Formats: sequence, C-alpha cells, structure tokens
Amino acid sequence: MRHNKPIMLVEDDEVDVMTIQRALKEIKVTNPLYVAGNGEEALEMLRNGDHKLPGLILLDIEMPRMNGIEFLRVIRHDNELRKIPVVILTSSKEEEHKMESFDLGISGYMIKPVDYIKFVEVVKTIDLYWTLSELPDVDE
Amino acid sequence: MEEDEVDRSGKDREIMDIDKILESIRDPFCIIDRNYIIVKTNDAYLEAKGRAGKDLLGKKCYEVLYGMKGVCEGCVVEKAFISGDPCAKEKHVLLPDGSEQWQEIYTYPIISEEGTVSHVIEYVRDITDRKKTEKRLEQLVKEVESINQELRDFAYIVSHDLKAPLRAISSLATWLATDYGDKLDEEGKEHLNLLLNRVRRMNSLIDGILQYSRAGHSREEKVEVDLNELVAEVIDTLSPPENIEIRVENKLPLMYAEQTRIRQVFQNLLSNAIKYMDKPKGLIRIGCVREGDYWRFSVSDNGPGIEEKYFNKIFQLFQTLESRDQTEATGIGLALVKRIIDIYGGSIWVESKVGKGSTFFFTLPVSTTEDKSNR
Repeated sequence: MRHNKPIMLVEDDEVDVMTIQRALKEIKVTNPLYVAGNGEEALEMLRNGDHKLPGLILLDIEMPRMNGIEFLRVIRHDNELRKIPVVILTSSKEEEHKMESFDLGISGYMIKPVDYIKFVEVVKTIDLYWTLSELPDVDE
Repeated sequence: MEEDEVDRSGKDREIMDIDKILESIRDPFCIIDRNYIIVKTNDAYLEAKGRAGKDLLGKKCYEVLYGMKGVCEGCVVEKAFISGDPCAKEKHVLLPDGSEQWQEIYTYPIISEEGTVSHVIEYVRDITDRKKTEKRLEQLVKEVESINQELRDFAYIVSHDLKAPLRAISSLATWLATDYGDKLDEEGKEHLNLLLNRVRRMNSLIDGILQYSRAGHSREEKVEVDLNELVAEVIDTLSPPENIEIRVENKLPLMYAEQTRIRQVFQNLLSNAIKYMDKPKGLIRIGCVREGDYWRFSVSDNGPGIEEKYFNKIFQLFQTLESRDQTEATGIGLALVKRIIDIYGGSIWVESKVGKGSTFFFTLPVSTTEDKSNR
C-alpha cells in the first residue's frame, strides 16, 4: 500500500486477524500492520506516541469493551486522528450500523466474506483503492 | 291521581309517581342539587359507594362520601353544573369489603325552566371487567413487542455470532488445503473440499434465516413500484441462459409496496423456474389478471413439475425436494415468498403436472396496488 505507511487493524477475532495478515501477504502488501483487539487498545496505541500514525485503519464493529462505532466517535473528535481514513470490515449487514458509520465519516464499509478467496478479493480492492485515492497527509 | 287528569288524557292509564320510576332503576344513580346536596339515591348507588344501608339524603356529597371540605378535584358533577353538558370519568374505588372496582361515572345536567342547571344526575357503571380486559390486552401487546424485539436481536446475533466462527472454519480449511495440499492424499483433499462446501451451505442457510426474519419487520418505506419495470430488472439481473425465454404476457399493475420485498417475490419464483428448467427450450410466462378485489399473478414454466403431494410442503421453511448435495438449495426461497405474500394479505399456491411444468399463482389485494395514503 502507498508510502509504506503502517496499516492499523482493529479486530478481536484471532482468525480474522490471521486472515487479513495472510491476505495482505498474498497480495504482497508489505506495510507494517498494527493489530489492536478493540477500540480502547487501538486508542492507546494511537496516542502513546510509540507508533507512527497509520495511513489507514481497518475497523471491526463488534468488539469487546469499545466497539467500532464508539471508536469512530472518539477519533472523529480528535484533531489528529480524524484525518486517518477508516474502512469498516465487519460481518454486520445491519442498515443502522452502515448509516451510523457513514455519518461518522468512514471511507468504506466492507462485509467480511465467509469464503477466504473472496476475502482476499476484498482486501485487494481496499489496497487498490488506497493506492489510487488521494489522501490527506496525516503527519502534518 | 286526580280523576280529571285521567279524563283529560282520554286514556285508561295512571301517571306514575316519579319516585316509583326512579326506584325501579337498578343501576346506581343519585341526584345532586346546586349545593352538592344529595336529594335522591337508590340502594344500588349506596352499595356502589360502599355506603349500603346508610342514609345520604340531605348531605353534601363530598363530605359524606369522600370526607372532603369542598368539591373534589376533577369532579364530574361540578363539570356538568358548569358546562351544562353530560360528562364522564373513570374511577378506581376501594369498597369496604376490600374489593376493588373500576367505575365509570356519568353525570347528566337537569336544566330548569330558567335554562340553568338545577340538579345533576350521577350514574355509576361497574367497568371492572372491561378494565381487566384492557389491562390484559395492554400487557399482551407489550409481550408481543418484546418478543418481536427478541426476534430482531436474535436475527442479529445469528448474523454476527454464528458467522464469525464459520468464517474462521472456512479460512482455516482453505489454508490447510493450500499449505498442506501436497501432504494430503486424494481422500484428505476430498474431505477438505466437502468441509468447505458445507461451510458455504451453512452460510447461505444463515443468510436465508436472516432474510426470512427480516421480511417480517421491514424498515423500508413503501413506494410506488411499477411492476413492469421491476420484473424487467429482475429478469436482467438473473440473466437467464439463451435456451430459456421469459415472457411477460400482460401489462402489470403499479403497486404501493416495499420495493425489496416485492422484488424478492419475483426474483425467487423466476430463479427457481430457471434453476430447475430441464427442457432444451425453456419458456417461463408471467401473467396477471384482476379478480374482484385481488390481482392474481402467475409464473408458469415448462420445467420438471412437482408432484401433487408436495404442493404444500414446498412453501415450508427448509423444505427441499432434492438432497442438498444434488442442488445447493436451502429451502428458504419459497417460504420467504409465501411470508411476503402473507404480509400483504394475499395467498400463494401451485398447480403442476410432473414432466409438463408448474404454475405458481399468487394474489395481492388491489388495495396494495392503489392505496397511497397507507403509511
């Protein structure tokens, strides 16, 4: 993915994390990947200064402690973090979740396919879009 | 009675004493004058007020009945005096024997010759049974609402919590096949293949259950749907193979309905007709006739047909006529169609001859095609 900026994955399911890691490797995306198990962990990682800010956040919705929607609400009020594009990656097809996330300024909403091959396709699409789309410079 | 009065009426009857008439009324009532003094009651009234055997005559109603120093708040007797109109209210009463009663109190003003309200008649009706029924109904509605909510939650839980592990199984099996494929013999590979196949089946079952449960509580707005356009779109999406012709035989009506629901009906019926077509030249015909208050639609095919003994079974959830290994059918499509037709107040049935083809009929009330004020 562009600039070799890190990608942050906020996801509580271990196998889903493995799936995304494997899919990224399969399509030869070598950007560093930060993994956080829920919204709280993600915020902690983004704010403790140990990590370079990611160029993209892949966000699950259903997670323990702080779910994806709650996480979005927090970062949308954070002057630094609000510039990072977020793509939801979830199994929820709930209309309410979609509306709420788009209201909170997400850049995309992807359903996790059950089929691994299709999952790779989804990750490939995100990669392609992110390689072509112009982004604000988050380091500024 | 004076003799001359009888003579003047010219009829052989007595004019009855007004007190006699009042005493004959068995429902509780009393008459109250402008000073809130009770001037007339009956036994039923005393009983209804828990004052059986007591004499209330000549006493102020609010003092003797309620121990108040002035007119009670929300008094309907006062209201009738002021407005000159009949009034009513409901009241919950604790009787001396400890029993509770819901009463409806009606007050009727008696207008004097000067046009002012001279007295008010208070009339009491025991509505305890009706109140109990109302309460029960209210409770039932609440229960139904909460069950509905539970179902919605359930559908959501099914979609997320069952799918996550399924996805994991799918990924892991795929990786086993890719990473260790060379270490597995043919049988092992076949087993992994079957495993993935069942994962896909379970996935479509979950999707089907979700669709089925969501059909009941759509949040979609009703819009005007031109069925001619909708059906053309559905056919386009299904893109039937070259050997199958789909013909729309009449002009279809406009409907006022949730677009996704109605699309699902045509999509499922047509995709079944395409999927099971066994003739080299397939013909699927869509028709519609008006029959009284209903439109009767039909989707006919010249496919394999269905045995009569299965005519009802095919509309039940999870019923398939072939083993799931032969056709990847979930048994949800027709059940979903039936559910949607039921919701619109129509009915659905099939006529079929084995080897010749099937016709699915369904009706929709003409009101769903015309009524625009609804919602």
